[in-house]
Amino acid sequence: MESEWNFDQYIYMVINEDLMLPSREPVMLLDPDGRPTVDDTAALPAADDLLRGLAGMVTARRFNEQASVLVRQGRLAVYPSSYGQEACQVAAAQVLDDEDWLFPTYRDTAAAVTRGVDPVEVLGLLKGDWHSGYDPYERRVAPLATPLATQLPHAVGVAHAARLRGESTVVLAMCGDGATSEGDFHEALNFAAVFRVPVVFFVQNNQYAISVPLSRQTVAPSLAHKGVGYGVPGEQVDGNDLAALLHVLSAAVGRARAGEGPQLVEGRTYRMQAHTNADDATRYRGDDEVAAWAAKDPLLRLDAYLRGAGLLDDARAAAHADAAERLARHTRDGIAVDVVPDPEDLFRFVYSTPTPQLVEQLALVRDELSRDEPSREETPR
Amino acid sequence: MTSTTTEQTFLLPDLGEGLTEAEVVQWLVAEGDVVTMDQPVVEVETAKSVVEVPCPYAGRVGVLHAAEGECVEVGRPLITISADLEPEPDPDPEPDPQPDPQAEAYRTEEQAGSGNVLVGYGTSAHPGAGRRRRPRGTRPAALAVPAVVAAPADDGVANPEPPHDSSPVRVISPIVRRLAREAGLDLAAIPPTGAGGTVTRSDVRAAVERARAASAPSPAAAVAPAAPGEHRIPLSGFRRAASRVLSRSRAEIPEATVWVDVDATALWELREATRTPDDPGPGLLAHIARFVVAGLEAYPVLNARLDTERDEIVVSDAVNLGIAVQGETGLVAPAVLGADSMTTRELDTALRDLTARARVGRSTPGELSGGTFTLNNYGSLGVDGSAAIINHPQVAILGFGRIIDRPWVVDGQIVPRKITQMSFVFDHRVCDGGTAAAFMRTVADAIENPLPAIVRL
Repeated sequence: MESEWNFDQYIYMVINEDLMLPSREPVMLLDPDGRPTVDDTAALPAADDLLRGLAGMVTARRFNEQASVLVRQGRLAVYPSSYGQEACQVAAAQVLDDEDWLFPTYRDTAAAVTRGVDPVEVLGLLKGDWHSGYDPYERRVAPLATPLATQLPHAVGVAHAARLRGESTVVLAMCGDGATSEGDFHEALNFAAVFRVPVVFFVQNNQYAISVPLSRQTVAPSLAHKGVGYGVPGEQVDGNDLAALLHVLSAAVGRARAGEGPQLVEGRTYRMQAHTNADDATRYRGDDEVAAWAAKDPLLRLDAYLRGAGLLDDARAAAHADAAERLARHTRDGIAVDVVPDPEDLFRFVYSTPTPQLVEQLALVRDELSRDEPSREETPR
Repeated sequence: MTSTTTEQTFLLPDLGEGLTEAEVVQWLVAEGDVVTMDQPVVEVETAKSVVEVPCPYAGRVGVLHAAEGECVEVGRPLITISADLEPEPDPDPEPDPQPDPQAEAYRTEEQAGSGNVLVGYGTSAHPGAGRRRRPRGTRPAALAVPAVVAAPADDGVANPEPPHDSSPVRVISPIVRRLAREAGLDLAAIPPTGAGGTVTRSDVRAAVERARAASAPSPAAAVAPAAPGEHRIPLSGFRRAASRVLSRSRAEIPEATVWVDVDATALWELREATRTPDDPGPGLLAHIARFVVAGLEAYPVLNARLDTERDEIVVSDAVNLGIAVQGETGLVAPAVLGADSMTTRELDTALRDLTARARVGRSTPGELSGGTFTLNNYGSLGVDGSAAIINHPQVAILGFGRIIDRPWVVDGQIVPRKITQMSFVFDHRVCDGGTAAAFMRTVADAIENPLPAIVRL
């Protein structure tokens, strides 16, 4: 493995910190109206990748809408929506190969769906299933992390292990702007840098940690600038520009895979809706701010570009919408099925060999439930 | 979701992690309307925000279970949808639902006399599922009966031998204590069947059954008495919260009131004189608010709260001037935070912003709870005087009536002047009438003679 990456180049970059600093402005390839910012459209990702990305975003948005409906019907306990952040969600999944791992947060349900996890299982945690969802190994998507930033050291561990085994796995670890203030963020970046672990840290800067704005979170020039302190190259990118995200994240994944160590990418985006259904965002931000970001919507931008370039027609757009609708229906129907929990599951999977205390507690519960049997048989008089 | 003509009732879900109720603001559909899957059918207001609730069933609207303005508890019926889409009009035009017989039986058994006015428990979307325990819906049986059980328990019918053993009763789980408490039962009176004399859950449930059977002959006791010629309006969540604060104020605070008529002509003229075509200048309320802030700085004991546990008056360093505002949902008193550091013009801007937002329910929690003193402009409601209720835990509230032309004696002549009446209600525990009167005179003198007062500011 050592020979696969260029040690000299790595050292040169570490010594020359300018190369680790992000560009002055977030990388943007398509402006909010869908016009390329570069003269040579060959610099854009391939048309097929962009079309796949658009289809993913259409589905991701429909999924966000459906989940928001389900939470207001009591089918989900809570839903943190990534509405407006679909470009980041889709790009994070799209730049990875099958052998790679994705480490999402609770807001990254759409990224997990894009990577192919069954949306019903993705929502298992938020519905309140005891097992919290899906099999992480099936699609190599770690469980949605609810505590802030804890997934980052986990991601580093998985990537480090893969490297020790000689696998070419890259791990993409997602977090939000708020998580960058957590200790785990520091530990993960530092360890990853020192041991040149193939992790791409992808920060979705959506401007708010619940009600705390970015200005109360950091005074660094950008979150991407945090990388240089660890010896991790940082880059910032327009988080509502799928083309730019695919470009920057693919490059980061490629460098990590080539042995150049961890990468930090900050996507500048915006949380269009409240933190969750339990939050009222109008208490801490104005409608004008939200409206300004609505104009930068990631779907409109890519749609406009692809149509303008003759790559997208109404038939294809309708096919995207149909696919999204099917996924929404599958999600709704799947979530509507109530699974009655078995109380004995509380004890079943704690240890491979249960402790005496658990055995005793299980017996107590069995006894208690058996006492319900007679009264259950009694029909109401 | 079958294709049969069964009714499906959507129970109000918890719309925001731990909410217990919501108030129906507005129905977006009417009984008889056809709704599609996930269509928003009602706008409700929770303690957190206003939410449009989408319906999880498609079909025809059978029953809207609550009137606009009414509060619905989480887990209670919100809307019933009939899956039958044949365009047959409801044979029973009254909004009286045909309850599922099974559900009705359940209701009668489980809730007889519990005062439940929301008819029709509704069919469960997932009947049975074949598990060995029957899903009992979202409501533990004990929750539905306390009103029935507790009353007889008090007069000893359900609890013939109240033993007073001082040692705690052994239970299988804390849940058992809660179930007994919610049912109004004494744990010590419940015969235990668990190992070592432990009271189990089923013991409590059996005791609840017995208590219910004993009280069955008088099930009407707990039903809200709906006398002819009257109807009942449930208190909204807002009114209930307000009711608690107001009751507490009147129950705890020995208040006293002073009042005085004030000639506001000079201040009126001053306000008019500062108007220009493109700048209306500060309003009267801003001037009065500025004088009140000055008065509170002179008599800080009125800008305070009383710590009754430590017998101390807790004086606030800042003046957070509360303003009573009639909002869409009711009276609120958000505060201009840090009013003591503002000029009259700044106060004017802050007051306009504060009251505009308060009217549409956009006050921040900090503004709603941060007030240290309240100014009450009830004159805007067209009245002259009010014995207002102090906004607990504050200790005083100053009110103004309308400003109208009245005959007034000036230099021995009766002349028309702009007169308002000021009333001042204060907590007599923090000061005596002399201080209260001196404070009010400070404000009144400033209004009658604004220029020297402004010079002194």
